[in-house]
Amino acid sequence: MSSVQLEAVLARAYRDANYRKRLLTDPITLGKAGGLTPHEIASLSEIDPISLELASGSFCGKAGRKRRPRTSDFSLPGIIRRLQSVFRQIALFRLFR
Amino acid sequence: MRDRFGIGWRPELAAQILANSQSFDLIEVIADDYFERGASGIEVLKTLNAQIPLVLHGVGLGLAAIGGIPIKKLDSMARLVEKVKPLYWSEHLAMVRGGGIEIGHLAPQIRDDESIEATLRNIERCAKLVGFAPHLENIAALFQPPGSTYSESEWLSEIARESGAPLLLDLHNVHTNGYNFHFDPQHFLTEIPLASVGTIHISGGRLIRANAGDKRQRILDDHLHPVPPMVYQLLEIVAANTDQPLQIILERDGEFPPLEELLAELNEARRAVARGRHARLRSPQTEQHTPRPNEQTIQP
Repeated sequence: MSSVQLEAVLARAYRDANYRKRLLTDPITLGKAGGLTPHEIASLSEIDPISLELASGSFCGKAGRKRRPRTSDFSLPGIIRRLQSVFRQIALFRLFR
Repeated sequence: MRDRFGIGWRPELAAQILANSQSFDLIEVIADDYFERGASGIEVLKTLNAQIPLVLHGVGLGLAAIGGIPIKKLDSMARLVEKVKPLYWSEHLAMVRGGGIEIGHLAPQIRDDESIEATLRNIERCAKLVGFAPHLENIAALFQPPGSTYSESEWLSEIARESGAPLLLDLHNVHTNGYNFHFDPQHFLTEIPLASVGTIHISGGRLIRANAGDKRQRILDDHLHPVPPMVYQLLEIVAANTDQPLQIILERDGEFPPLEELLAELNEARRAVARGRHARLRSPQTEQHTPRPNEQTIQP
């Protein structure tokens, strides 16, 4: 039943509000476009729209909460900030060692 | 070997954790934060590991992915484990991407034979590259994945048994899913192989509604609130029905209270485990121990 295609459809539904809305109103068209089998398309009708909406909002809000934001700032101030952060951590360890 | 109690390492708590290092038997570090930090990040973790035993916790592999796990991330995890030498590492039985789209968090996978086979392949790949398999964490969900043919406990048990990998049992996730999908979390514990549990996560969440008119409440596992009484009860049950030493880790991801409050939560966890272990010694091992129903009200 589960497939790479169904995984892709669900991932897009989590992240794309317009796609999610269309998926919930017309799962057949989007399921076919996503390469799903008739059985997989039928399973999409099991989705509780409110729960999916809540889950998607939660995922968007929680995205990366556990993870520290990854910086891709390679400007001079950005590099200085990162170096300062490293030095602060090393100093902290030495303080409590 | 004894039960060990620790906390999730967060930059906001770093100074307080180090100042109170004697209060923790271990700390859990989010591995993904250090994948791109280079030698300085590794040195920080090595120094930390020398002071408090450390475990690495992954959040980005998505062990339940049918499409497989990204080799670059797995390679980063393998290199980090090799250099830092943690007690063990862990990851989630979740889907975090699909069709090239990063979901950004942990989503429930469709629970069927294909996802079990894919997950087992992913775990085997992890074990091969990293050197040993991760502790496997159950996740919280707000909606049931479509097309599932297994219950959560059946799916989890099958993967634990077939892989032989230890479980990281997140008790707030069990509580959350029990509330959101109307099953008894205590009964859930009777359905999974507790002998496979190596680590336990405890944390708190909150009740949410879709909108003001929505009558149905759900628990959001946001790790921003104190550990609710039900989680301590579940912890007591696990301790009362297992023989192996457990690692119990308190997770807090924001709205940080003073460390004293978090230490009080860890102490409550210690008491729950002690009660469970005590009951284990007194009761026949075949008998499932459940704590007194003194706190049966549902709180997130």
